[in-house]
Amino acid sequence: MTSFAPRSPLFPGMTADRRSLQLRRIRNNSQVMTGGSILLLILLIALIGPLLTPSGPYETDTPNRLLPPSTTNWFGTDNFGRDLFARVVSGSHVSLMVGFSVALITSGLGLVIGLVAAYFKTADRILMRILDGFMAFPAILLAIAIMAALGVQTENVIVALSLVFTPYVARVVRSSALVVKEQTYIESLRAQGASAYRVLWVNIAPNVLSPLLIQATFIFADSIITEAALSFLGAGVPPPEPSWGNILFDGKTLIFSAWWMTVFPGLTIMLVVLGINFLGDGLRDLLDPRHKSIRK
Amino acid sequence: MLIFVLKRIGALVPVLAVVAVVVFLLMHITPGDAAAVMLGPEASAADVDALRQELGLNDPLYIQFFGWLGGVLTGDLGTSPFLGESVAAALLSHLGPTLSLAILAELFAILVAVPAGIIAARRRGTLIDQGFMGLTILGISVPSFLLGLFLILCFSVGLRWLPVAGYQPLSAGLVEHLRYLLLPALALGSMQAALIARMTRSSMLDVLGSNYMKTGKAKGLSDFALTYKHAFKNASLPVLTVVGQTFGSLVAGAAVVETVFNIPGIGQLIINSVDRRDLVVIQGAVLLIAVAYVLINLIIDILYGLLDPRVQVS
Amino acid sequence: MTNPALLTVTDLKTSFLTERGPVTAVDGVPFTVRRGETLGIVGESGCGKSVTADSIMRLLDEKDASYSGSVELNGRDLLSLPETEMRRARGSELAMIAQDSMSSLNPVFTIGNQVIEAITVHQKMSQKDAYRLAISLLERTGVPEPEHRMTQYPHELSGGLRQRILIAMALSGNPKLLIADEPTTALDVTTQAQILTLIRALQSSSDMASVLITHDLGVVAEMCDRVIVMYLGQVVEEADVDALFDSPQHPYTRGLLASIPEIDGDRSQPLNVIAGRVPTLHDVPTGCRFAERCDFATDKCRDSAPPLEDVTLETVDMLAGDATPRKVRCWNWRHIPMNTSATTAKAIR
Repeated sequence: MTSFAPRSPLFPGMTADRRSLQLRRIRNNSQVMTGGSILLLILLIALIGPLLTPSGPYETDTPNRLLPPSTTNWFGTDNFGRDLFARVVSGSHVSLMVGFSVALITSGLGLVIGLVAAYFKTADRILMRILDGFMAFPAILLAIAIMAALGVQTENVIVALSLVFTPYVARVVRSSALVVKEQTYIESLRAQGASAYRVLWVNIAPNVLSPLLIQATFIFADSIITEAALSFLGAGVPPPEPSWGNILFDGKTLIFSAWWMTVFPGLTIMLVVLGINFLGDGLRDLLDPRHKSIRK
Repeated sequence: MLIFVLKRIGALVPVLAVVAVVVFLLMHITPGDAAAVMLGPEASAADVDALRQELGLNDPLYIQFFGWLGGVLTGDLGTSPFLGESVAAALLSHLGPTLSLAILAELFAILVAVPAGIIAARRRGTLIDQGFMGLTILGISVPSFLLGLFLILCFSVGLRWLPVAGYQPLSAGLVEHLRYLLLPALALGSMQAALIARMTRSSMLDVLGSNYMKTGKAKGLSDFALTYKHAFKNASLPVLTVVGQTFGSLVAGAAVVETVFNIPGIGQLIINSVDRRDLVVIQGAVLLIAVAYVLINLIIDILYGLLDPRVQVS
Repeated sequence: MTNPALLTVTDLKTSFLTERGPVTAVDGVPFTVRRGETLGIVGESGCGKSVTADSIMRLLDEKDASYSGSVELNGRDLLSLPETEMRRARGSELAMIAQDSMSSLNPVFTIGNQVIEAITVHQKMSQKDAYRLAISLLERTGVPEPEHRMTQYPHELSGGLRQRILIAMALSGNPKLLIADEPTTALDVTTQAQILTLIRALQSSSDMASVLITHDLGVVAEMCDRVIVMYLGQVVEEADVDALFDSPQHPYTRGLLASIPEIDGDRSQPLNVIAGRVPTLHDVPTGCRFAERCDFATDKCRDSAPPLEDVTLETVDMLAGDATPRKVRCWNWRHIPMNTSATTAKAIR
């Protein structure tokens, strides 16, 4: 009933519109461009941002607490007088690190699990049942529970999110690999007596890389959102390490007096996720042939 | 039809088994002694021993599992060492607000998104379509807790129309109840709405271009009959799937949104339990939500079978 | 013996907006259908024959398709009717049988629901009467166990049965004109024959005219009174069916006829095919649209487009008989000898 084209685990409905007009093909490229530029910009700010801040992310300056945005403190200061821009920039390091690690780990694990499941029938039956079980938990909830069990630490966020998101990658890899496996040239390779290992890694694996890449971009976005949510809830990156979620949590208690503590980290998260979604959507339309359909 | 339903239920058994194992293992992936972790560093050795005894952590793993599973199947989810009450009772007392919030959010999402998706599909390529679709991308890119904060900033801090946070049960009157739940439901439902609108639009487009729509038009049917009778029933199938699939993230999102708005629901119970590392409550809550998610999808599957005669055959 | 014209199509043009600019899929098509007559429209896929059918019924999405010319049914121009009146005409004055019976029936409604809907959309009657009428329609179209079929869903029926259902729905309003768009392509050969027989029988029991769209010349020979041949959005030849098969005038028509393999033909010979491919609608040649693929093409053909001209009696003397006027769109039709193969054609030039 369900197909496993790449899609966001958090928002499973986000599959490409198959029939949008041809205009879409032109827009695809601009989608990739827009998404890519947003991300590059964020990356650039993450890199050179620390050079632009008046003080470090941990430097408290109590007389200057809760200052609204100004030319010195672009994003204002928080309740300890720390420069909010410095903290948001520093938070971007945490977010990008978590997002990238999770995307990398889930891609590796998902690739292995998906390929094995696609190739070996018995393994498939067992693995798929297990993945189904994991996917019955809403992503954030399972992440919270794992964090509660493992303890609140930045490394554990990566572990928890990797555990939560791997099944989504594995399913995509499996379903793409199954398509490739049915193709005649793979069959003739097997008929010629090529080893399973060779067929799997040399002939099938390269063909699942583009759906894998697309899925990885979605996992990247979802990891960033989920990390922020976890930290906001106190189940992610522990304070005082600045993370977007932590800053938002601090901002919530001060929402009447310091709107900037909510608005700036919030807009940053939005922008990053928007960028990644654009990129992933555009990449999917460009790379995934199953979603390409030309009318008439 | 009965066979179809039974088959569907049968297919759930392995999924639920995996769910049970995962939930059970939560207690056991804790580095070190779960009992000691739960009670914190100041606890005495005797207390830790007592809790370990109570949780049965000294038994072999498989005995623990079946003991726990037996309890779960009879409705005994254990007792929280912090709350001093059974997990089942704790969950039950927190269920109302979460249900209210989730239902309201889902209702809002469906009522807004389905018409929006249909209009966008019928006006494909126009400004209205592009406007709606731009909004959905925005909706997808703003996580619910963030939207919640923005809404508070706008409607509670800025305009002072609605309360910042808190909860009034339905017994306090419908208007009061809704006044407190309006912003949370908006925050929670927006993402849902965006997903449903996108799916409605794309499946409407698929359907509108299909041959049976052409047959219908050739019969002389009106645009209205074509759209709302012939197209909608077909297009509603994928939409239904999205509603089912996203219901899980809706409930999980409720946990987060509850924290933003201080609503005393399951989500807040979970978050407070994370602070206390009350793994027994977390296990119970996670199990409840996962099972609810699986059952919702079962219902959706059955509905699907009722709406689409082809499903039962295959 | 010629009946009055029922449908007169004059200079019909249908254009679409696409991302590569507008294309004209049907470019100035004229034809007439008389009462009780069957007109065949043949051509390769993409030649505009289905779009012609859709244009007559105005089924295209008028957001990206536009029509010009006129389509007069009983003297009333359908193209200039307001949509509400056009809707009333669809299914009652003119009806259509679609190509793919699987996808042309709505999968989530029962057969009964869809047939009854076709009836009640035009005729005010009780559900009970509509049900009875539906049953009798299914009987007329040779559907066995009609009461049972009414409760079934499209996927539970065979392709032939589904096609009969579509025919029953098309007949529900007693149309004067039936447009059948490749009604048998999706069916296997024996079912094809049954469906064609059914259409012919239904037609002879009423004075319904029909337009039969097909790429299958066998179907044309069996079913049609007159034929128009389309190529790249234009009519290239029009003739009575016998005349067309006996003495095709346009090189394209000849190519089509020659490409039918003969059962007792010489198997060592390669099959006759028309060389080259149909140009796309985006780069329509300035001259004759067929010139690139034509063995008889001259410079004139490549430079200027030939008109659709009458084939006069003295040139096709003994073959034309008393039939209706023939038309052909070719500069050189007078000079192309009959039964000339491509190689000799080159030698002549």
